[in-house]
Amino acid sequence: MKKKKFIILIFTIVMCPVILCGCWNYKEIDSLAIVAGIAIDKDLNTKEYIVTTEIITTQLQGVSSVISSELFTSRGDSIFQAMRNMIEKTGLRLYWSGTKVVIINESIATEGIIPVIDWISRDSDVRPDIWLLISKGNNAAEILKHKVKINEVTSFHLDDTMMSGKVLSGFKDSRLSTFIDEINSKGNSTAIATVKNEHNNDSIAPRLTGSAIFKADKMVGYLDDKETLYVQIIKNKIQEGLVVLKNVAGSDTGVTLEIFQNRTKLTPIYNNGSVSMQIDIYPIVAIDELQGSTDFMNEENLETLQIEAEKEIEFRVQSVINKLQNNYHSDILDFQDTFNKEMPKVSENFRKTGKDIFTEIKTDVKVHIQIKGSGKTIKPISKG
Amino acid sequence: MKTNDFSNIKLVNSLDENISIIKNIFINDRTLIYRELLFGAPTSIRCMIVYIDGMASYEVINESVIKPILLSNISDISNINIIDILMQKVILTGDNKRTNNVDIIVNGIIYGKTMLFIEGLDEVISINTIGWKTRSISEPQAETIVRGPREGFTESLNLNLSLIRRRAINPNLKFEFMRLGKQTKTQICVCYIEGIALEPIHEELLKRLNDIDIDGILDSGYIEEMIKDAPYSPFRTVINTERPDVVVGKMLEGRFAIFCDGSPIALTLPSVFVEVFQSNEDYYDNFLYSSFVRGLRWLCFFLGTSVPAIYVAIVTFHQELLPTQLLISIYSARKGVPFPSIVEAMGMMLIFEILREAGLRMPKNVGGAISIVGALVLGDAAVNAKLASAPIVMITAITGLTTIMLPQVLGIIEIRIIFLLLSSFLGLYGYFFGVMGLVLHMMSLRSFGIPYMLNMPAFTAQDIKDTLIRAPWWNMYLRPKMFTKNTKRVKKARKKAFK
Repeated sequence: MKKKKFIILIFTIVMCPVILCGCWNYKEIDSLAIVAGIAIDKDLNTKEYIVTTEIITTQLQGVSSVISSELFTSRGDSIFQAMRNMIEKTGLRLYWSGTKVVIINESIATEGIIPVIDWISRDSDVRPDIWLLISKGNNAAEILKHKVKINEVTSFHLDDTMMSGKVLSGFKDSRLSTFIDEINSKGNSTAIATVKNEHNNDSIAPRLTGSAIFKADKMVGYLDDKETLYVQIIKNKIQEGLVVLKNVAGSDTGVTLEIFQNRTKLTPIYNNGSVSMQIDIYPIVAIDELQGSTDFMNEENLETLQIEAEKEIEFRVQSVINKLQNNYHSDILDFQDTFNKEMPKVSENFRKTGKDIFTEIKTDVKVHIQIKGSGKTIKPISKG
Repeated sequence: MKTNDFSNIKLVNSLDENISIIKNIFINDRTLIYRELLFGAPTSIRCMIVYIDGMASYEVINESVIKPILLSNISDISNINIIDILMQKVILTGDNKRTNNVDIIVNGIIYGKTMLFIEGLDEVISINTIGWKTRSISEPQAETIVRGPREGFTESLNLNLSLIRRRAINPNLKFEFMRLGKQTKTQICVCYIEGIALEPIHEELLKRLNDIDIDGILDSGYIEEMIKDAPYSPFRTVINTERPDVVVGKMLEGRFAIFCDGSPIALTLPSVFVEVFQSNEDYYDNFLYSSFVRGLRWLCFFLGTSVPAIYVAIVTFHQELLPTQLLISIYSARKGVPFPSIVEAMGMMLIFEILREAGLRMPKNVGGAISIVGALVLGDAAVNAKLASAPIVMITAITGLTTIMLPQVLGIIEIRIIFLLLSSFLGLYGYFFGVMGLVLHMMSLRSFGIPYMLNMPAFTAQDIKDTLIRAPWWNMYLRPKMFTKNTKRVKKARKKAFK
């Protein structure tokens, strides 16, 4: 009985903040301008921010209403000022809780992204799970200008694409809150997804691909979608992804492997002042596509395929590590963090001598692939 | 001033004078029939029967009263025992009484009895010749069920009591009669099972009934409002029903029933909140299904009281609570509607209530028109003309349905309006204040000493057996606590018998 009362008490206390808190202020729903996405650029001459918002519009067509969007642009010395100035054009208070994406111009990102995202993470209306994207090669506003028919609201289209990111692994799952957490943690760098406009048949559509590499809060470079996939593999964050092998072992046959599941183990090693990292990758893959006549299901060929695939993954992983170490000096792979956790003394030494531990790390990549299954059939389609 | 209290008038030993007393009382009433008879040999005795045309049965009067009296040949006429002789040997009806009380005589005549006045006596014989027509037993219109008895009460008190008697063949089933209403003298019957019902409740009930001082009672609703606890509350602390099986079921749990002559609605009390969710069909149908329906009714209570309030609160205060897609669809539906959400909600609710009320009062064959008007004109056209948004129309429809779904009428509409007003100017904050106030109010209610929220705050296994769910009969072995001291209902024999 006492326990029951205690449970009821706890329940009441927990329910109170849920049901009794929050802002409240009378505003009719139709007096809002629902912001779907934000794009932030900077005028290089006046140093003003140019903020573009995509605002939902609805038009009644017969019984149903068509949801579309309209862009508004305003300028200001700070982001918030620009947002407020926007009301001069929209006439309605902006409603931020439905906002899905914020796209930031790459030139702002190279200067430092913190001044721009501060308001977004500080304001109580904007959700922390908003997607943070870097526009590559275009102005951020350009991204929102091009509509796709599949979803009239470009920001929602980008949201949908980010949501299906787990089968693509070609870009990073980059929420604002995750990004802030990652750049907050000591010595860590991070990556966020990039978006660029590309020709899509006759029109232009935004494409989410690759990732932008940050060192602290400054963008230092890009990785393309394949490189991003291997970064995800190293970070043990991959859910699904494809490995395409062309002309396996000199044959005429190309194989596409789908990664179902992966486990990556990072083992830091310290030996006489040199640091290295043992990377063991255990992917479980399936043959999803065979282009050619070689039957890889017999034991011999299967082994060849396995070796080839391991080689390919090893090579890719090694090259992306090299790129990060030599070109960008950006530890988005959390190597330093691994040392911090498992060999705190070693990383402490490096910190004292002022050397960057990440660039010093030598890596040894080993892939232990396991091929499971080949879809509905075990044989290639024969020509008879 | 004319009175209808005749207890101070005395009959005398003269037929003519007695008749003139009656004639004076019933002056200007031409439905009274006075039939003079002469009987007996050798000396004939003058007597007179008095009855009301239409209330008494001609057949009984002719065959069982007039015929035997005229054919009798009472030779030995002594005034003392002539009444006894007539009652014992002559009159053929089953229910005869002698009386000299003018009050009883007058009321008897009005109720359809026949009075036999005899020359030289200050007493009359009251012969039960009641022969007025009653409606035959039919299925109650307001409480239709699929499985279970189809009999419903009629306007005749005696017939109603017979329906109760037939369901509980038990001498402990007690009926206590009283007349209420100074002008109408309506007969009231309090019914209970002695040994199950509690004496303090009985005393309290009789006290409250005796305190009623009203000119007339035309329906049991009068009594309900005069005796119920918390008269200003929207909750009904007295349950009403048209079904004899419901009444017997309640009496078996220690409740009292009140019948009112002329009303097919019986009252049962004390009542608790869960009775609103209990339909008699729950007990006749499979307990799993009944428990599911019980759950639905609880849901309906929540929906009926809260959905408009929550909708208005979210749409005008807490848009952040809506998922984006839902937000946009409500946004596009609201766009262009000229009224604030609260006006819209109130307006549509009023229109629905008007439609419902109109549908009730309407003759059956024009009822179809109401549904066309309601569905097409007010729903579709209002949305197309942008006078109301589609979500509000749906919400009005849902809440309207939930009101109808509960087996007992409950103050859902009153609660809904209060919640709606609160949430319209305080948002969910106001709504929750409303909920808290409502819970406090309900917890403070009592019905004849029984807490109205009995079995509600604590969810022990015994408590939920007939509240949240309907447990199988072999498991509901106790009567509800506090209603009775005689708590055993089912002997725990289920397991043994089926092993």
